[in-house]
Amino acid sequence: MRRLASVEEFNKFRDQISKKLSQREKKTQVKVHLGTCGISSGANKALAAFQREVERRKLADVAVLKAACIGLCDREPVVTIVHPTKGKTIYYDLSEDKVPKVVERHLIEGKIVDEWKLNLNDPSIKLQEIRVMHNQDLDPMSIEEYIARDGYQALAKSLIQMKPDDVIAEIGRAGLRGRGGAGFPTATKWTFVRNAQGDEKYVVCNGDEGDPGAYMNRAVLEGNPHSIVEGMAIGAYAIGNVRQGYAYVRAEYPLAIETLSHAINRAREYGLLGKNILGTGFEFDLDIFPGAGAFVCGEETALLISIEGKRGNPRQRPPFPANKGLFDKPTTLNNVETWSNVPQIIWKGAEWFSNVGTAASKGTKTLCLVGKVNNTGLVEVPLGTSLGKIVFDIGGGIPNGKKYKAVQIGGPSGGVIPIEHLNTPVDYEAVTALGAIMGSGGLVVMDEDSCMVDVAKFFLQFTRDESCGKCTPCRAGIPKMLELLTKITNGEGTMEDLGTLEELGEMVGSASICGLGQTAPNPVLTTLRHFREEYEAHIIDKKCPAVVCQPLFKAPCQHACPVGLDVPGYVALIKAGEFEKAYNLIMQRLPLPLSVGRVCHHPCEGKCRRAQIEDPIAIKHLKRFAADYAFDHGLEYIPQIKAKRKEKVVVIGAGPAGLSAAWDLAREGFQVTVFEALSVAGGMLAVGIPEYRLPKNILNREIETIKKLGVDIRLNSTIKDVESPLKDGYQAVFIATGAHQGDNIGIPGEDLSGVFDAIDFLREVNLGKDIEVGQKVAVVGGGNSAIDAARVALRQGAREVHILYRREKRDMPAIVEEIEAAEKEGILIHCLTAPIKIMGKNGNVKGVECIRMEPREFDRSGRKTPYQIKGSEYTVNVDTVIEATGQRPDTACLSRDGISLTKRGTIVADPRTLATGRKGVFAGGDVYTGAATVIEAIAAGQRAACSIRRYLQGEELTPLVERNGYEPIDVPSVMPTEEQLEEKHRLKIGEIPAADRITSFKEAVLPYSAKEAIEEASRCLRCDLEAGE
Amino acid sequence: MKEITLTINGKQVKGREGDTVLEICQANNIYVPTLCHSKGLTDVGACRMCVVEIERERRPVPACTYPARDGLVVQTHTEKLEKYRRLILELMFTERNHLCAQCVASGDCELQSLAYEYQMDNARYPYSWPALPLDSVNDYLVIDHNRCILCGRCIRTCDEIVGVHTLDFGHRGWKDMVVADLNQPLGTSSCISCGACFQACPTGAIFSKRSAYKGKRPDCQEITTFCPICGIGCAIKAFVKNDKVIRIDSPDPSRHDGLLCYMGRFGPLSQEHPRVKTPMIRNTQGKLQRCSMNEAIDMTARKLSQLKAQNGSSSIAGVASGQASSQSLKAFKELITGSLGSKFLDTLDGDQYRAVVKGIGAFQGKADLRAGTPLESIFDADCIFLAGADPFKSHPVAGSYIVRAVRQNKAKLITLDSTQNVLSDYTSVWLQPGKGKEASAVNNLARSINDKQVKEAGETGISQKKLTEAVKILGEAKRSIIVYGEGVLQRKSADLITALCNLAAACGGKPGILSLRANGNSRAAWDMGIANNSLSVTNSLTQVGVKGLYLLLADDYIDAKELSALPEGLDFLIVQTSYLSPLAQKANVVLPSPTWTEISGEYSTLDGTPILVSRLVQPPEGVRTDWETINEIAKRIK
Repeated sequence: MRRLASVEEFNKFRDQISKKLSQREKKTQVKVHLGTCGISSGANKALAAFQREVERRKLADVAVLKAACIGLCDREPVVTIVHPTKGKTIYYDLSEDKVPKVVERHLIEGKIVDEWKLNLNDPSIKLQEIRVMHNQDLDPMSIEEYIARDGYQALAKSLIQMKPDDVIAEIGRAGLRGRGGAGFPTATKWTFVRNAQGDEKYVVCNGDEGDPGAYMNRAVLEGNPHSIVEGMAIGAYAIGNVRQGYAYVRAEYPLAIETLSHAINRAREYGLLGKNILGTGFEFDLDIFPGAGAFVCGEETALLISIEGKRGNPRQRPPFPANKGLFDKPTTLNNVETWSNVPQIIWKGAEWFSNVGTAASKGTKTLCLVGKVNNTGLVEVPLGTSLGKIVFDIGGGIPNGKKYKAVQIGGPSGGVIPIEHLNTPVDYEAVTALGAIMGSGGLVVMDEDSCMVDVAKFFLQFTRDESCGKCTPCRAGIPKMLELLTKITNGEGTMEDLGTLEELGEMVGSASICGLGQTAPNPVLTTLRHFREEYEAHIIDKKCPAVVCQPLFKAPCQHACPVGLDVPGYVALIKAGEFEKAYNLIMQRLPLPLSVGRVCHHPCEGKCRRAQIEDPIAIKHLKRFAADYAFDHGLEYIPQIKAKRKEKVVVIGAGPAGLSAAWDLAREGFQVTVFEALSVAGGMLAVGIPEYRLPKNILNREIETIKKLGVDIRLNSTIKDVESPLKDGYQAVFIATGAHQGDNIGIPGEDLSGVFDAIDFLREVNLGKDIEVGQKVAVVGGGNSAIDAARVALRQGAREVHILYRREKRDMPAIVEEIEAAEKEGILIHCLTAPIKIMGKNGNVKGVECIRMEPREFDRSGRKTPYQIKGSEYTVNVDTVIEATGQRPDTACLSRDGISLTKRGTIVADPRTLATGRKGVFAGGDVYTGAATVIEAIAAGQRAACSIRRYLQGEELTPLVERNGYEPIDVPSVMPTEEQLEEKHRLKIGEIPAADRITSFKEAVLPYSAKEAIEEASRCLRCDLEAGE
Repeated sequence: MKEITLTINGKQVKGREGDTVLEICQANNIYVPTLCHSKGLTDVGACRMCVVEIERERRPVPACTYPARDGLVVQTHTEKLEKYRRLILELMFTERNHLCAQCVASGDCELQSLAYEYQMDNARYPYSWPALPLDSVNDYLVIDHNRCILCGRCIRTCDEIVGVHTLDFGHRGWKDMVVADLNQPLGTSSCISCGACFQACPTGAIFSKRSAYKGKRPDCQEITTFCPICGIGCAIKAFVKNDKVIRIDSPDPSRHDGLLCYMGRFGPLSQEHPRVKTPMIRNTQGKLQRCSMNEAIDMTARKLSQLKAQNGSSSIAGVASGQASSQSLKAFKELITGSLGSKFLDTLDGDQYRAVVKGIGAFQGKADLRAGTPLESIFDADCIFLAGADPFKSHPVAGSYIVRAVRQNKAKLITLDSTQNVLSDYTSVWLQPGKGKEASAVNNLARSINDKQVKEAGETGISQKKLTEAVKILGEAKRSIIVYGEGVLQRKSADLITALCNLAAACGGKPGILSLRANGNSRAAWDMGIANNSLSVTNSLTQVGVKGLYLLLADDYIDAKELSALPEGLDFLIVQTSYLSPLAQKANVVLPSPTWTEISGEYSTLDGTPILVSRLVQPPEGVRTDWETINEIAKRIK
């Protein structure tokens, strides 16, 4: 190809090829997107398949073309089909084998294959603003296509119409800031270099993208290489005295190097690089320097020294590269994305560029969305887009229903931004204010399974290994911080270590030579700032809340269990057919297995490693199985009392917290009396949970067992103060009165007849009162009480039950299985709906006026805050309203006894020892936490028992609960066989069909048979054995 | 340079533009702790001990790299900085295995001193206790990585001062190590054992086998003088404890001539050969037997007088080593030519001298080539023509000069050697003439430059291509220097010397010629005319009827092989020497010489500059200076 010797020739050439391309656009174009990730997913094979099929079927009006990556990493290979009139369709996951069908249906029959079609209106597409990546439908290997799309126009415009100062001024007006991370204004940088002394200067492109999980620069290099060549040429012109540029691209990006080399060569052939560009006399050439794999070479001084052929160590600034850079000459170094933005700013104007973004951060930013997020991949959004929008709307939220925890932004140099900052706009200032940095734009999403101490460790391991070793703080400080973190994750940390970490982190961040060391402590400092309680859990409780840090536990399920049940142990015993032993083992730490096996929210299953293969082990059902076995066979485990003691302890409340405390204390030999205000023992198990979930005869049997240990339970005995038992000779008091008071919604009409509080409603029904509900019932709320109340209402004869919930369904706090069961039973859940008024007639409920809600910004819990949509009010006719919007403990009278209460009415106590402000008085369970789960209440009871024993024996109260059993029970050490490791879903539990079960209070969920239980237990991976190895 | 004013710790101080903040602090007696900084080396800001706070800088910056500007406001000792420094010290101590009690540098260690200064009574972090190797393969030096703080001073010294760049950092980050070449033991690397790294090391990570555990520098007497061994005349600072030299440093390693070599730095620290501590005479059984100084002198004088009387003055010859001090040489000349009246006086390298004199004499040009060319000229040169020399062996400091000129000043190096090119890494052209063709090759080169036309290389053995290259370089050079060494001298070829003179004349800018002579004080010996004999004494002793030979070897260790022809046909051999060499074993009288460290001696450098070398330690009891012994003999000659 001949050189384009003038702008006229250039324009003529552009017109020619534009014409050629528009000819092509009259055909149906099949564009196969060929980025590195696409190719690795088989995009080349898909391309070949299209070519083959089109050839074979002689489709003359179809052009099969190559195109760049469009960022849908989790859905590669991706193919865009553009029809000259019908517009474009994007197919994802389009492997080779699917191609014939697409050719057949789409290209021949003209029908879109919906099952593989990407919804272009999906927020993940809609909310993006594609600018840097704007040529993703072009063949990056074709300079002609780039020129046809106004490529190199900006260079021509600069050279012909603009003075160098004008170019810089335009970039300045656009507000372009360095996309490499620090966000330094590009025009200012260029001005420094322009003004620096020297008749030999350089422009350099930093393509040494090394952050784990970040690859946006790769996508630009692979997908839009000419934008970098053109941008650098414009920069060279603007700065002046620049005849040579270098693109430093890491060697790990072979395709990027290939694409950019190709672009450079083609630009040279056309005379767009080299001497006398477009006949203007301007000279500029560009070469690629492949980086050799050191992360630190992304730092500007190290990068430049590396181009000089030396060891890539950073050097102290000043002098800055603007004055003394490559080969000691003035040099500007900009990131790939920065250069790539330049041509469009010059061609489309500063105003076009700055029409998106925030006041100080203009334009768009490419981001890599990776980690625990549904849509991983490359996205481009206007600067200032909120983090929540990126993670939840574009990213599609967290997979597997897990809870979002935080996002790590800016790679190992960045920091962690926790859930409460989801509304943070992603721009340079806002991110920095939270202790993180924008960095090059890597976003690693983390969910509840990410331990923040472990995350900090991961990034520190990275920076430790990538530190060049030149300066002491970075070289020696990072390993030291890592050692301290490792000490903490090994359960050997101390609280002083946190101070040392902070002090060291501050020094390393402040006194290191270069950005690597200066930012390396960020992951530690930000997690310490936002997740200090996780560090404290490791140090004080020896617990890893996310169940990640191996040295702290035997098996994840056991660690996740609030009472630390030996799950792998009893599962293994069930597998071995030793059902009684399994029951005995459970009883070592859990006196209520029949109940817990039925109603537990099973955090253990959430951490089960088997879920990484397919499903978690059905731990809850297996526990129930073991307990049922004992029940059915009349077996009862009652431990030996350690030693008779004379100290007397009073427990107020016979709920799960009180009963478990009583059990443990009685076993220790203390004289325990439980006072229960109600006529039945069991607390919420008895009066909150409906019969169809937990039959009362089963609960009572467990309570009988507890009594047999010597616990004296006195029903119908209200104790309103703690003074009297202490006076009566009791040495310690445990308050475990629960939270039995329902909250009002605070809307008109709550006093009408037919309005119930869910807690009262469930209690009355449980106590055998026949409460009459109407035909149509509305339940307000989204928690377990709401679901229970709704299902009870159905069983009490309601024809229609509606649940009104003001947020989105995924925000409902109720157990998922319960929600599903309710829906199966025909209960209708209305989300984003809130009652604003209960309407009545003659004092009776007649209907509810509802309003539709709209989720907007994120609240501190990471859920979107619902707002009423004005004018969306509507009325539902109901005759009963059950309010289940929250519950509180009834504690007002306790404040007289020197016990502090929170605003919510819960008791103030030490979170670890459960000691209240009053000596000898402890509190736990719902009365301390507010409404929570059964297993947490049991754990609190055990904690209190432990503290009370220590208190009574004059020992110091410590945060660690004794988790010893009562007697050793042998567990078989048998690893699963190869066959047992093969994919096998968990065994479904039987249920009474919905239509049948709603007619009675019979237990709805059926037990496993012995065979089934053994089969299910055989799926266990025995993580506990691995840990012991 | 422009004077600027800074505010440091609230005080106005002056400095010069271009200085670093540290330099200005030091010039104004404001103490800032440092570790990786060392005067004369490029500052890298690595250890971060010298971090200071400067107004408008976001972070503390190292004073050692920060260019001072007028009006800077600097704080050197804020609470924060002092905390950082202590933290950094704790990191340094816990990073590797610093056990002061067992350390060779304890009490003489910059790291330890700083730890005391910062009252580092404990470290808050656990020690990492890495398993690190120790490299003790080198004859003189040990690298103990356990004590290394990776300040890089050794590396920069090796690179910037010594010029050989043997040491560098290997690996990365927390696995960073000082390595030699591509990570091999120092002893098998390109290391020239000059020991500059040892002096540069602020801790005990690099230490000398010969100084280790012998004492701390602060406990020693310091004597600053010169080393007379090779004739370069490097300044040395000797540390003497209990009349023993325990360490030798360069008095100022930051100077470009602040270099030492293995001979000067380590030579005097140990005795490699058995010393002659008392005079000995051969007894009637033919065995050497200790005797008193008086007996030995008496016997020598008597025997010499006897030979002179019986066989005439010409039956006596005196040969001196170029290692002897000028006073000794002078006394020796007096004795041989004066008292004994013999014309047979020579130096051991007299043949080389005569070839040089003859060669220069045959040179037709005008340049005064006998005038001394200072070693420093190598630094100024843009082209170095190195003929028959192995400078890193014979004159390592000159080797450093050459390598630095090439690496740092971009000088071109042309090597002429028919067998080896020891500086091949730095050589632009290696001219490799055939054996015996050196002179014609150099003349051909000179003619080509003169005529600005490359001649046929012909039979010189040099390829036309290389000749063309060499002509181009030498022709374009503005400040060439010609350095020749033993390879040329040992050829004893006047033609080759003339050829080198011709070449010097052909090159522009009047290049000097530097001769790397084998003995440190040869220049003085030659200048004194000791080798002015037209005869080669050492080769023609028996022909001319010499019966008595007086060898003044001083502390030059000469084994019998080098002078195997000597003792044949002699009646009487006097060897005055420090060492009981095989040669001394053949003597009739052995007179003890002190070594150079035991006398205050005068010497001349390669370019003829006189230097006075101070005595460092006492000689063995009863051992006198050579000139005292010689004068005493002279007195008794009858």
